[in-house]
Amino acid sequence: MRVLALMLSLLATPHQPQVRQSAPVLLDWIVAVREHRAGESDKALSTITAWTYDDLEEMRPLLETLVDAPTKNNPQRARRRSRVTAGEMEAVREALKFRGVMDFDTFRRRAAILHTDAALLGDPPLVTRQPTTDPRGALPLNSGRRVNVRSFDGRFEGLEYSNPHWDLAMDMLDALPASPRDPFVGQWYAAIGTHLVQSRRFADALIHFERARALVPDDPRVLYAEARLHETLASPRIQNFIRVTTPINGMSIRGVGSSGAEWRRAEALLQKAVAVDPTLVAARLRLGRVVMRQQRWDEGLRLVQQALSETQDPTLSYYASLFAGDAELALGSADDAKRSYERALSLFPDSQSARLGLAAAISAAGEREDAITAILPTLTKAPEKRADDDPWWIYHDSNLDEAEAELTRLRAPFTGPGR
Amino acid sequence: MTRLAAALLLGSTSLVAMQPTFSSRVEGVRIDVLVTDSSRRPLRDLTARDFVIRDNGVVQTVDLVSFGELSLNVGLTFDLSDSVAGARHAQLRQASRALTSSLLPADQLSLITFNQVVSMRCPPATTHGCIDTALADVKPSGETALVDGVFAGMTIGEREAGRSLQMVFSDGLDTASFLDSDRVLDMGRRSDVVVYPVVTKGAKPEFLEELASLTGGRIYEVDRNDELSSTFKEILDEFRFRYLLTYTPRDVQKGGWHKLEVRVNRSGARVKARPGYQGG
Repeated sequence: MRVLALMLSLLATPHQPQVRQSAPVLLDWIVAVREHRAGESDKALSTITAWTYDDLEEMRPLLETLVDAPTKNNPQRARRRSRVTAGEMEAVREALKFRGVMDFDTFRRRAAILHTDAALLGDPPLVTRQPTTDPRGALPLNSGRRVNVRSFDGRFEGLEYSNPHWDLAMDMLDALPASPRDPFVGQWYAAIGTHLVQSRRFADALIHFERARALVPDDPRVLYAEARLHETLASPRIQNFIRVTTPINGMSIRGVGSSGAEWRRAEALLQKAVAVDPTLVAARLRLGRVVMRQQRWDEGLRLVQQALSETQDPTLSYYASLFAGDAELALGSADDAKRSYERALSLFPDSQSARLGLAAAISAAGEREDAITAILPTLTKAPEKRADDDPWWIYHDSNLDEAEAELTRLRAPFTGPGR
Repeated sequence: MTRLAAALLLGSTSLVAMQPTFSSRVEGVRIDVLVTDSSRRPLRDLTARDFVIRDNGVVQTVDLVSFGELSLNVGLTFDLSDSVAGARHAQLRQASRALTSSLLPADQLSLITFNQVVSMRCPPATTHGCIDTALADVKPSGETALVDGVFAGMTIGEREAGRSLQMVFSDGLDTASFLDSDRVLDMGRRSDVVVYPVVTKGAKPEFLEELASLTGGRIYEVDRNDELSSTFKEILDEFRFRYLLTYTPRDVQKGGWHKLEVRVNRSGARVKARPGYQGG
């Protein structure tokens, strides 16, 4: 995946939508919700993905009204709702009659899945209204819409609108029962949060977790996924990019704190995740690393060693061994570090990172020849045969929690049309 | 098992190709020193008596001064990630050809490239033809493990034979390294390798600036890709006209950080050397 999305701060001029012919469109939407087979690019999905960005903005208050999304503690939604006319309210009431006999909460879940699939499987909505363009002619920047930065390998690649289908999916979840919280909500936020982090859609992920916090603040899966986001935002790949990039004159990337702030945020989330679910070994492992990044080597070492003792998973064991080696080297125990890196190599014999770590440990002990010997096997292996050698290369994006499997589980109850 | 066997075989083959073998470390301290006049022209006629070295404030006796006598051990460590694709890659090849043509037959040259994968494309050798072929074969792609790549380059360059120059080219943004930059800076404090990074304008690579300073090198910033050739040659010329001073530390503790001061008894002379070394 080549997309790295970060959010820009914008000068917002609220857009004033003009709803036209809302009743037929609402009916189309209800039919799509009923007929869509989760995970498929079917006719129902085509109906929805054909809507433009402007259509979606116009429809949003009507759809929120239709599913009865709460306005309490949500001033933006309350403002949108206040603009719905009496005629539109009547159209909403009429449309609801076509929902059929389906349980209303099932209908809301199906609606959330529909917009989820629109975001995941469809093209980004077409933007038909371009009020003004930015200095590079890329996007209108005074429309009040969220704009994401796209980059790769530390280079600015362009701007794109955030996909509004994510907002609509979350609007549908807001309408599900709060007390007790519908379990589908936590499942959705965990699965989609993991997907967004894994596919490097960080700007969307920031909004995603902000909304998750209000609904499922103690779900360990969501806490873990959000912690992974902040761990990545703290890393050099993001911090370096932000340090040198000014996408457009007078604008700045927002949503990302300093590395220190991001490490602290990740740590707090991971602490909470392992407190709620002590069996979450992957969270304890990352907590160890996050603590080490804040120079608390002893504490971090204890955590990764605990994770190592709790898992049989080769990839997690590999990461734990690598990080233990880092801590031991920082603490001046070059021999212990060598043993840890050698353990990592026993799990992934061609791993570049373990060999670099081993060479660093040997070099720190003053053994230059041995350091060269340690590093040569990885340096001299044909690069085209090394793509899968080192799990470190997917540490920030990896599907440790099997994001695809989670998505499949999320969609499973909705793979047929609704009744 | 087949895959592992193949990897080991490749390693063995390349080890043979990397002659001469690496010698072990000696007790003496080596300092690569650039001495220029006020017009930044190298001063070429200095002897041991012209140098004053202080190790943690204690004046040392210079055992040996070499100038232009030892062959060079030039390591190229090039970023070939996605951000280097296109014109920059072409200019990098051209600059490498210009550099190669300026080397002497006894000089060794090696090439390490990196995106997220760090590879030794050409082991150290006095035959320099490998570089251009290797660069032609690589299509820049992927992310940037700058710190990992520099560490590998310095490790390979850590040889007692000759004088070691590492020329690092990158757009300066690390996006994929495993190693922490502090680890490599620590290595720089212990190393005899002199690092000259060449970076693109605006990259602001703090890590490379610090590494150059620690090892007694200098960072170059290029504004246009076509400046690469002249920059590479300038670095090589500057490095060739450096003095290699050797002394055996006396009346100082062995371990810890040793602050170095190098002075030259010539009016107007400017001295550039690493600021210290890690003993022990």
